Amino acid sequence: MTDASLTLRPMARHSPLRRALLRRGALVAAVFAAPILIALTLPETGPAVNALTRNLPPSAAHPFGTDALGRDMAARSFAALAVSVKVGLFAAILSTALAVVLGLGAALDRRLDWLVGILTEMALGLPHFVLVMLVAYAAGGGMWGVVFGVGLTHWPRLSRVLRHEAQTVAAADFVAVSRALGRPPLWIARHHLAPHLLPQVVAGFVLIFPHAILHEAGLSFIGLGIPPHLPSIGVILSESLRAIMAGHWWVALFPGLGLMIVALSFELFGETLRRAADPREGVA
Amino acid sequence: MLSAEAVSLSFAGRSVLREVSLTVTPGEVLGLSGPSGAGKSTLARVLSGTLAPDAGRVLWQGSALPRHHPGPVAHVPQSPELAVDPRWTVGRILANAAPPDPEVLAALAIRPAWAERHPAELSGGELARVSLARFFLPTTRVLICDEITAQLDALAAQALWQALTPLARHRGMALIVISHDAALRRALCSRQITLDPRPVAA
Repeated sequence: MTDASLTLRPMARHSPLRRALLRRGALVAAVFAAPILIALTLPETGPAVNALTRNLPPSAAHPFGTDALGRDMAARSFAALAVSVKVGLFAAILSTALAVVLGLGAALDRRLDWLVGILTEMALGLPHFVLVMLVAYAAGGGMWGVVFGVGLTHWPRLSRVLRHEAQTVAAADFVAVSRALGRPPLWIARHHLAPHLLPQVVAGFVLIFPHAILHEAGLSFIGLGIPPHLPSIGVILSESLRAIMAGHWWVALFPGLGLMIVALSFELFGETLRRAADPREGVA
Repeated sequence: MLSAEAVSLSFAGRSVLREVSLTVTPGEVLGLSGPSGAGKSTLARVLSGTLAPDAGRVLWQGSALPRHHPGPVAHVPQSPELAVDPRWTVGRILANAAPPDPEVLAALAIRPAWAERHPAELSGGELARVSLARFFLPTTRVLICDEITAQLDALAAQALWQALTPLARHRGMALIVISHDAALRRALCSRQITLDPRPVAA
């Protein structure tokens, strides 16, 4: 029974989880980077309109088929995924960052708590999509309009969770013990507070990402989001309603599958990250 | 030697401690009792220096209790399951302030295999011993045991006290045993004091 046996072994336990985390992180990076890289290699103007190749089903020349304007759906899908991934990531990062700052600020400062409380009531009290529309419009529409529209309106749920969790941990007996054992506030924030908050932050981030992409579709559909000449998953899916009626299933299927793969791999990554942060969980 | 001189404290106008005085000599086992709400845990926090009294003084070796933590007086809180971070491994909990002392771990029957486990994977008695072991620092001279066996069955409680008292004696540490169990206090303590219930309004 030596010191080493008690202090070194807990580190070893984390390594299988860390390995799983790295593996899935690499997978997600690949899934995310692929459409962006492929889209970068495509001509900048996007696939050309071609009257001779209208509504072709999938073939060797057009693996994802073509749309009603004769554009190659493979090229459009990858370009669209690149736009949607960027919109989703930026909106999720903005919204999560706001939630962390405002949630922790509210937990630490009474006046800030009052202000954040009012902002939260406003954001949750108004119809959700109306607020997204207003902010997106005010931000000038386009990709950044969607990012700000979603990012500035989706922090309250996560910030409330973080505020509550931070207050609970700060008042916990085990924090009082660490303080009595001589641990300074920053050490307590890093070793007690952060491990309790991180899973909530990850869960919030992972949930906002696909949500942001769906809002992009909604905003683009009513003309406040991505302009129709730019491909985006939202634009393609809203256009594909008519194509599906005409039996042109491929126009919706492949971009939809692409979105699903991106969203699912992101969730898988988030789940692994959450488990790595919560050592009580076993390795998947 | 630890002494409290006429220590008084009130929370929001409600008097919790009123002119409490006591002394604890090295190696002594002092019993502390009193009805619920009499201020036993509050007194423990004042004596350990985590709570400042409104009036009166707490003295260590004749001078003011050192401001830095960990000080000479450790307060082992009630409810070990609340007093350990559920996300930490037992190894990390034990090494919070300093690397654990092998002698203490052996005396309290803390097994090396627990180092990788989390608090939820230990029994109540095991967790109570782990929570206790972290307060055995080289600087600790007085250990305040605040109902540390209240939620254990009689056998587990007996095992803990049979391990703790010789360990404290061997290290020349004084114990303050806060307990509702009169038989336990009689068996362990050489001297006992009782806190009176406080009137509701000051």
